[in-house]
Amino acid sequence: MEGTLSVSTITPVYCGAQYLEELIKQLERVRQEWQSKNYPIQIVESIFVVDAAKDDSLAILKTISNNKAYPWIKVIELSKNFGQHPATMCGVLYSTGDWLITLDEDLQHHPREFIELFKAFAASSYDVVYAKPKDSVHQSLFRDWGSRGYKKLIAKITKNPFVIDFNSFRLIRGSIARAAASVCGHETYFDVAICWFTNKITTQKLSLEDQRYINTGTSSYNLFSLLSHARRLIVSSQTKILRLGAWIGIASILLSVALGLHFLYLKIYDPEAIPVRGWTSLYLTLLFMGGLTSTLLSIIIEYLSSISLQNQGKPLFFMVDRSSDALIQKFLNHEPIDH
Amino acid sequence: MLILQKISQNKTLAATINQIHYVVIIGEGLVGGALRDYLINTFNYKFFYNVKTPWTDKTLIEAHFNELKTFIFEKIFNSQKTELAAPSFLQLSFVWSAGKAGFAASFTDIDEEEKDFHSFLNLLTQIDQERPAFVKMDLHFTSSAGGLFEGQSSVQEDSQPHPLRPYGILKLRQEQKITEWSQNKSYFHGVIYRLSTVYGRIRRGQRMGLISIMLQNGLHKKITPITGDLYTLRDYVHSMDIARMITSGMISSHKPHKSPSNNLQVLFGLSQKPTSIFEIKAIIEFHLKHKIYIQFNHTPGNARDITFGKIQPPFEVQARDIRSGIKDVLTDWYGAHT
Repeated sequence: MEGTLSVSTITPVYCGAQYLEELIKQLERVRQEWQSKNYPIQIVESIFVVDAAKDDSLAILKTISNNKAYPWIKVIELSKNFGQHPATMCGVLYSTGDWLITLDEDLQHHPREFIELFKAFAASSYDVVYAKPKDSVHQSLFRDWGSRGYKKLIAKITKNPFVIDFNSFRLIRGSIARAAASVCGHETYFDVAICWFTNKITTQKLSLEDQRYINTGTSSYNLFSLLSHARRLIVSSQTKILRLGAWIGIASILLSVALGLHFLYLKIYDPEAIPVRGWTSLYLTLLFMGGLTSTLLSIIIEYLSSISLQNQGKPLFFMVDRSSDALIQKFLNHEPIDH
Repeated sequence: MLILQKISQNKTLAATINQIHYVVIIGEGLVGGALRDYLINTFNYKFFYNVKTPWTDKTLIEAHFNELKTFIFEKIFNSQKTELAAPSFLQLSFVWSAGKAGFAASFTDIDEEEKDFHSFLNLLTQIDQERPAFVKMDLHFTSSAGGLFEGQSSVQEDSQPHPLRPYGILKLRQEQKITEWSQNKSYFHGVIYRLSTVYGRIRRGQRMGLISIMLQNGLHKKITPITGDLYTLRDYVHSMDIARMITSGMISSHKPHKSPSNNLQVLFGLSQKPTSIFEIKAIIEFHLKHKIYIQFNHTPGNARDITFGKIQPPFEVQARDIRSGIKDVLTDWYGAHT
């Protein structure tokens, strides 16, 4: 349709057999609603990336996909279990939409909330909108606190303030998502890669509930997978906190020089003020060499970090076309649209 | 223009490729060249006739096609009759993969090409009318999904072509001509392949796809001008995959279960994966292990996305992944230059 923007949804699938039929039903409902109300945004495809699912997810999706009533359902089968992020990136690279929405398989991210994500985008032509839970997602203080706490810690270490907002329910400009997914290596954290391309990132408060965790007390994530996430977040980011090592090193060198001059002065003009001989020079040498080592290590880490980021594909620049944003903004602001 | 010949005594192979098969390839560009190499290297076809088509001198085209017709009648039909005592079945496949016009072609350019195509259809008509009964013909025509559906997204099998430029109009007219032509035939098998953006072997001094140009310039540290944007989406398909699709089309053309009446199919030759120029750049840089230089000539027309919905691959032939495809082009180049 002329004058409409296309939306692709991407869902990585690992063990969602009991939720998939309902999820597709809800997606169809939203899709039909947008079509019937002539929205300027239309869901053109829903991509399900089956990441070596451990249940019947693949069979369920294939049955639905082979049904001619669902030409908009696309199923991609990965050769082995690569993890949620690689599966999402695969879906992104197979998408065609002007806008992409990534969501989990278990209805934690409900399709009826899609329009809310667009409302947040419309405020200032954002490139990425992350869903932010209004209330407790897991209804478990420990689980929610743990999730928030580790994101805050990583944000401090990496000096990337957006880390706190990272969420797998996200609306992303298609061109930026595909570019980010193109450069990702197997250790790159997808959301960090998105931050290489844009800082027009915002959040939208939504009701998100991890039904699987609430009902069964289990999650598709265990402690090891969360630690693995944290590790990849750090590896993908420039660990700016390590620059602190260089400053401590320089401070140590300056302090050792200042103390050296001070004790030299004492040695010449007031030798009695130094009761134990030898300790001063040993202490100052250790302070100087320790500072020098710390500074040099920081420089080496900076080099390695720079090489690592270049190797992971951090771009020099990227262009974006936001000219069609006005169409959605007008619509969401209830202004007449010129088709 | 060339004719490839396959006379198989091997019963196993004869089950997949018809025992006596001649393939006439008009246009040995990216697709025609790949088909030639695929048939020779994979199925052991031999050169039978190889003459350069005088595309630049339009006055000679008609005579050239007449020569081809004479050759086919004398060297194929008559000799098969005498040598093999009229075989029960000889397959003659025609592949039209010619065409100089690209997206930048003018109406004058496409008029010239239409005339050539008209001469080719005349040739087919004559051969069809005079062919012996044991000869079964099929036609494989390469069209352009990009030209027909330019600016359209989520194109489906039943989407209506809406060309925006002369090149697309040419392809649409050619498709219509084949459809009209095939309607008068009592027995005919044909396939129109609507190809997305084809890439393949690096061929110096000849027309190549964008990917091959980027690779060639990347290898020589030269700048590649691109009329589009980094985020422009296209479906890129390797020429060898198209060759596999056409070969499968030829194999399935005269199978016993096929209806004896005329049968014209319109199929899409796609990889089913939309790819941005940025992704191609990232893949090429990964393989070349250095940055490549790009200069953008922003023209709004060329920056339009062309994307496809869920479309069945022709004859179940799945195209290779873009990463493998680019690596294949590079491996091929290194093989030829080391």
